[in-house]
Amino acid sequence: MATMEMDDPKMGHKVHWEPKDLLSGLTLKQILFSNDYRHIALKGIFTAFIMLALGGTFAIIFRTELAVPDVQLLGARVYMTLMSLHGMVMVFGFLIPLVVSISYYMLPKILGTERLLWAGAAQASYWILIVAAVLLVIGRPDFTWTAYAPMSLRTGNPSIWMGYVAIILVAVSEFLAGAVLFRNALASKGGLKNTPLMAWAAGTIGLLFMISVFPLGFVGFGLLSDWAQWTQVAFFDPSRGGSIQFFLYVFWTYGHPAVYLPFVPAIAIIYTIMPRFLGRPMWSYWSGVVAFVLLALGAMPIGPHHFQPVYTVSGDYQRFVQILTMLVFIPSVLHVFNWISSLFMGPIPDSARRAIPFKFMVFSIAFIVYGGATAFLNAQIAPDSDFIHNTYWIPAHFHAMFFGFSGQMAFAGVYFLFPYFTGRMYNQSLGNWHFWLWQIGLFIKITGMGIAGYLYFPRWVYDYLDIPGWASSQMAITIGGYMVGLGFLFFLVNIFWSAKHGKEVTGDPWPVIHDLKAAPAAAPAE
Amino acid sequence: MLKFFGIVGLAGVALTTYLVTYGVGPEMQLPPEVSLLEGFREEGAMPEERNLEEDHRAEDAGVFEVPAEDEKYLDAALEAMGDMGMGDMDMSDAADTAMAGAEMAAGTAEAVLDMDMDGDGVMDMSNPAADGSGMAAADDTAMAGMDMAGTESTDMAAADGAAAMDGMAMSPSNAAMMGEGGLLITDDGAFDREIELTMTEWGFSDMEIDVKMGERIKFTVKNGGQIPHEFMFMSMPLMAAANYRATRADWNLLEHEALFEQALVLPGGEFQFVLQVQQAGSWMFMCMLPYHMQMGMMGQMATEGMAADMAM
Repeated sequence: MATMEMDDPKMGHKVHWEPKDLLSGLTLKQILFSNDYRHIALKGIFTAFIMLALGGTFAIIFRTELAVPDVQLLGARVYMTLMSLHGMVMVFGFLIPLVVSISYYMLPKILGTERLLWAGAAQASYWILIVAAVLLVIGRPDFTWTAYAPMSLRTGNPSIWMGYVAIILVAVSEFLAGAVLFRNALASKGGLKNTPLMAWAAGTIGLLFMISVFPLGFVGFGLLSDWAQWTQVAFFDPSRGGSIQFFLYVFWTYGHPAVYLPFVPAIAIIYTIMPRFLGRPMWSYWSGVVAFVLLALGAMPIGPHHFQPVYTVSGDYQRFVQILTMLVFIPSVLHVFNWISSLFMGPIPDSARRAIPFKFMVFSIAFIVYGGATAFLNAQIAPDSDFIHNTYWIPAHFHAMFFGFSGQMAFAGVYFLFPYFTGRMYNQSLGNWHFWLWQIGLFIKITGMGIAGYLYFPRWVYDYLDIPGWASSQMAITIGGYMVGLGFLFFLVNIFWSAKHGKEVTGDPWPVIHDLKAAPAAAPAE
Repeated sequence: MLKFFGIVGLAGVALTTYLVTYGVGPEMQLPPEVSLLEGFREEGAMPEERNLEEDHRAEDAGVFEVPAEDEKYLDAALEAMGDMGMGDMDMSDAADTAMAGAEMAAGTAEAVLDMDMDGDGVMDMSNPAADGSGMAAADDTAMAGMDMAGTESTDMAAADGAAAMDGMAMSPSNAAMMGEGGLLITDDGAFDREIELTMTEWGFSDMEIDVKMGERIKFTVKNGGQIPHEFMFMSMPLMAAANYRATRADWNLLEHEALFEQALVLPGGEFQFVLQVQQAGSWMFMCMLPYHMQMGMMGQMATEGMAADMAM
């Protein structure tokens, strides 16, 4: 039901289609193997929630362990395993698949193709990732998600090879997902001037996916080869002539673009649903396009800022990396100002104010500003190498970005899509509980991490001394983590209950109403 | 569909959580006591000729043992810290703590350096001991026996903005100053020849230095690079021990036992010393900042015929 207005790129190619119950009445075969884009996307979304539950359970367990100093619930290796799996499951299993699945759902609608091109590749990508996840939890890596050699080669765990294979499979899966996103972005008929911003995002990030996963695959292969000692050649194991520096450069050539893999599709969700809720166009189309392209270009060469304090990056090269890193602020800030300008350009409709996805969106913008402010410090060599590196400041930064922004934005997307794929509205008060528990919990958690980092609390420690400020900030982080977990339970109850008993929606579930008191009858269903 | 994912999710999360925590068994809860490679070798999965033969010589030589004195100093230092307010040192129990402070301060040169960045970019370093606290006593003690401080570079407040190095307390582990390890190093004196050594990223201007026995050489070591570097001499046996440690997963930067060390030479800075070769042998010199050695800042000084093969 495209109209002239809806084809305006500044309107995010306003998405609307008829709400419909897609969930019930599916056979097992359809659930698992259907190539319908909505089925693939929903399968990806629900699997991502399972991964979130898994990673969240791990986090809750080791958070409990860390809450009080000098009290042990787990062995040190189990702690490190949970910590590593938390990172890997959340990034590779939850965040990236969730935003990619939402893109699978929205792209065909926005572009009007009504089918996902290369759906088979998307299907393969999903199943490869499932295999990778299973191998990963059997392999039980305990060397954190960065898998630094030689630490990752000396775990003493005989099944760790499955972890290395999982890394390769993740690379294959992400390559396929990137190819699908890129192919579907190319399906846009709009040309340069009229392509939806979500398609721009999918195109740039799909390209970045496809290029950047090769180093990751090589890391997995190199670790496997070094561990199994197939040949005399060692890539990363220093005791056999391999190079740790080589590992660092290879890994972070993937690792920094990997940060953008969930980030950019989450930005695309904002560009799609914000004009929809505000009922007016985005402030600027071209600043969004330019920012997407600049982000993709800037992602690859700045990986070394992740390890500059270990003195393998130096002199002019270090400065070059720092300057490039700080240049990446420009596209990020272009995005943020675009959103803020759009919000401030006119009144915010009452209907948007009470819509859960809109609230999540506004607060995720707040969290990207929070995370971006910490990024400004991280990017600079001096504070990074002297104060910040390997302290809790870094988790504070990336939890604000990954969870505060990308994760919450993905949830905004899910809440937005919910009436479309169930034909029913979610429960408003459960949604509010979820929303406020997450905002308060996340803020406590991230700020607690920031304070702990300010007090030099090191990352990856299993127990710690009762130094002033350490125990209290850890306790705060744990409480914040519990609140986030509780909020997720509210969300689960909400979708399970509302999918059956929510108020039925016909027509547009997100009408723009400026004064709800004047027109209560037209209020969005809830 | 929701029901399917709900059941799969609940079962999957519960099973996985159990498997990675309590399901792994007690033997996986703690770090392994025996190297994984030992097991491989027993199973015949790894050929005998592969390297990684455990070399216990270094361990037997006590490389990993914490010297009893270190424990003593650490205890004294912690006690002193307990007495401290936030940064204000209460020196009621002077002597012990002062001694401990001496060792600790000298051991980590950075700890006692107070850096003042002037407007002209000249880095000015001085011992903060001047405030008359226990640290002053500590420093005096450290300096008493071996006054390596205050070499010619003291007045190098270079107008071109290069950072000047003040003379600084040498580590007490400068064993070569006592003539150990076949090298006798003094801060000045007569010399037979001069060697200028420039440190850059990543290497020294002269990576292979040939010396004769009994020769006295004046070294001028200059940092020609863009970042700080450090300089030290190590004897070959100690180098072998460090090299062995680096192959271990639990390797950590232990307190090294250099024959001579100069901490933190800023870009443009330089220092000098006179070295006498007392016996035939070979010695390594390198930058001891993390990874600088691995990046190539590692050279060898040897008498004739004693040079070790560096491409190992």
